[in-house]
Amino acid sequence: MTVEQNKVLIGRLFEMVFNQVKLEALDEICTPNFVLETPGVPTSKGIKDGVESFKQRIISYSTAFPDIKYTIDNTVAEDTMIAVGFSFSGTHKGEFLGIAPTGKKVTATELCFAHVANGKISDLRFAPYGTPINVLLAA
Amino acid sequence: MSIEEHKAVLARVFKAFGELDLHMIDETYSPDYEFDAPPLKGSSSSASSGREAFKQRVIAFGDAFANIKYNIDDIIGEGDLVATYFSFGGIHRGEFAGFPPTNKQVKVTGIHFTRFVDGKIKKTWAGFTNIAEALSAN
Repeated sequence: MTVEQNKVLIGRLFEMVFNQVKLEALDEICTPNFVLETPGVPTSKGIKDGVESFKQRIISYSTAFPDIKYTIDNTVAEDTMIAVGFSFSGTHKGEFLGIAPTGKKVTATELCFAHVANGKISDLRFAPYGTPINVLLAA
Repeated sequence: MSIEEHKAVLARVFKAFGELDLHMIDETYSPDYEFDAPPLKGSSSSASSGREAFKQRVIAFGDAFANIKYNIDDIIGEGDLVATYFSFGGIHRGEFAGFPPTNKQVKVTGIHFTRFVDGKIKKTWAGFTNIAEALSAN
């Protein structure tokens, strides 16, 4: 994969899967043994997995913030790895992290780091930074 | 500075964090350095600036984890940016980011972005991927 192909792959993840919530696209974006590492995702046999956990995470965000919109702010790509800094905004209309809907519109920021193999994402790690969402919702 | 030189700087600074070599921060970070990283004790804001504030942060990591050692697991660069997937380990002996000491050997992983300007580190952003899992008592 070239750097540009990796950027297209990540762009499809953000636009089709995150923004349009077309979860079936994950099957062509992620490898079958896909590993997800993100706060709050339980481990299975010592590793975090996989596409099902990822779908649950995406659904939990899009249910809590039905108008959620993701934006890629910065991209760093090489042949086998890509990292992006991104932000997402949405109106809090469903329970999230145990917090009842507040109706607040919030914007939060995260970093993610992916490995790419055979044109698909083989693992993806997420690290929130900036003010945590629960703090934003309590403000 | 080339991308490979930027990566070499990151390798130096992560090694220096573990050695608590604060002098290195004056050499490699811009005087108007800014960072955005999870708040630690005594700081309610995630965003801060200045080399002195960052030194306090490096010290806070060393206070919270005995024999702290950092490792860069993956590193990539493009243009003026470098991204790392990194980890640090040590014995969790002090309160850290709201987690009371577990006195266990732990490993925390995270993602770190750096922007270089004129060969110096101008800005960094960082977060953890597993901190609650790594530092919760159970």
